[in-house]
Amino acid sequence: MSDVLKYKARVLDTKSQSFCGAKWYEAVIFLGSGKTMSCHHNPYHEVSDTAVLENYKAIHNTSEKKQQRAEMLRGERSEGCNYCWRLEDNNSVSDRVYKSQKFTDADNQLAFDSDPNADVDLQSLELHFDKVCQMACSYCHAGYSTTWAQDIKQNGAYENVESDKQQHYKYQRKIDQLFKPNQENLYVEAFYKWWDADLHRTLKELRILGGEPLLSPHIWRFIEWFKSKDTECSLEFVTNLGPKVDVPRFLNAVDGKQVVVMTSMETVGEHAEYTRDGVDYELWCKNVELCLQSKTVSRMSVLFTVNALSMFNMCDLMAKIIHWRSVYGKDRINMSINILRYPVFQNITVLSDTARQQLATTLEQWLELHRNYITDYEYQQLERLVSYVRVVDAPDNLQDVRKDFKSFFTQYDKRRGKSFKETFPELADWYRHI
Amino acid sequence: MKYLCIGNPTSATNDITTRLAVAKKTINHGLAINTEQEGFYHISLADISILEAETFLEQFDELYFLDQGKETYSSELVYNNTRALLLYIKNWNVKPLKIVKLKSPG
Repeated sequence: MSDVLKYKARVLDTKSQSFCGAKWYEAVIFLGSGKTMSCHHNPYHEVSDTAVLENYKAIHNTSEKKQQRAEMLRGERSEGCNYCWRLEDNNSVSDRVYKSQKFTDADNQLAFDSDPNADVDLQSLELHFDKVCQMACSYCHAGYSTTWAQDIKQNGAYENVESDKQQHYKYQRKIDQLFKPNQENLYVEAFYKWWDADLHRTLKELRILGGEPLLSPHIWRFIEWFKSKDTECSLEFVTNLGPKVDVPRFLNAVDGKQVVVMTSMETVGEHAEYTRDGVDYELWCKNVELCLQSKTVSRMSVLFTVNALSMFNMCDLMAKIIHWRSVYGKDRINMSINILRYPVFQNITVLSDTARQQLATTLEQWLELHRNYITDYEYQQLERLVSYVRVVDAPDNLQDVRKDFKSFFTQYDKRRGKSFKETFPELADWYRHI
Repeated sequence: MKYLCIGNPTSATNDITTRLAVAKKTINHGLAINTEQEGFYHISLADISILEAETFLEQFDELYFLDQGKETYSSELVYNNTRALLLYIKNWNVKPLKIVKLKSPG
């Protein structure tokens, strides 16, 4: 039995068949829209403003989460956690096992023994102040980017994208910013109050996201405030390091604290600038180097969102990262490889089988040549990607999904002043025949 | 003038909308489906999604938020969404807004 299965048997199964420590100790909170979820696999839900005005801990301890905790104590499967149940039904180890491992056995036991209606202090938190963002990546939407919202406002909804069941490309989603930029936000204030009361000692990791967090009107107050606190909590920023991001000011502001900088990129040059609309690839490289030169940045991570258009030049980016390791130290920068699943028409399976096999082979050959330059974890992630690209079934309605791909990028080209065929000549024929 | 009352998905919302319409010497057309005529309409976030509501509101001249208690909503999700919509309308001055305080649960 593997270590992780032994852990599951010893710590989780002795409690209930559905217990997950993350339901108590971990959260993603959107302060701009007043929403929360326990982890990335859950759908988010609204946080009651009236509850937060009475009790600041309600930004995490919502009645919905309390109900789900009660279900977990009874061994019932909460509906929002279907991602894990599906994996477990396929005899795989689900994320609830890995997530629970982040917390001590004693804390998991404490959660299990507690009243499900009690308020619990967080240990791991992803905080989104707002959705202010200067970029509008093809696979993002107006819920996370004000520039995306501007596209919908100016040009209207994207039409004929049938697989967009969540209507991401239809609405400006102004409602995802409940407060004006410089207005007092009751959810932000609740976070600060909770920090002063308890989170400064219970929180072990705090990750700041956006939008683009370094463009948020809240960010400088937050950094000054964090620096003034005595805490062991680690601080991470997920930033696009794109235009308008004042990297020297950021590095100066966080000076004195050790921070982790995570930045998104999955390919290079024109390809990167096509999908990550608004990014300047060369500027991004310079900004990465500025961070690597800074002593206040303890570590960097490049977050790859591997999509249908990113794998053609992905190896060039990995080579660049290996080069940075040789200059700045092998532990200073790593890669995190994530496969984009939604929107489904930008998932890698939309491509032809021939293209997929070629991309898998290229990556496999690169891996063989560079095995000694990447970590075991990176190697495993890339191996998993090779296998995904080679064997994962395309959706049943592949032709419809491809129509969505073409319909979306035709409109995207017009709105953003781009050309799919010129940027991806290797896909031009395939694209024309969709 | 077109007025929209935003409330819970119960008949109380229709009743209050009628009272407000009478006070303004106009009529309550009921649930806001066909909204061509002037007068009062009502909606709840059980009828449309919060994203749809964002654009739906734009066709009205004035909005009324019926301040019904949480206990009058059968779904907490609908209640919380309605509160979020209120915050959005108020903070961004989306449309002229009146909050109707209710003495008893409605």
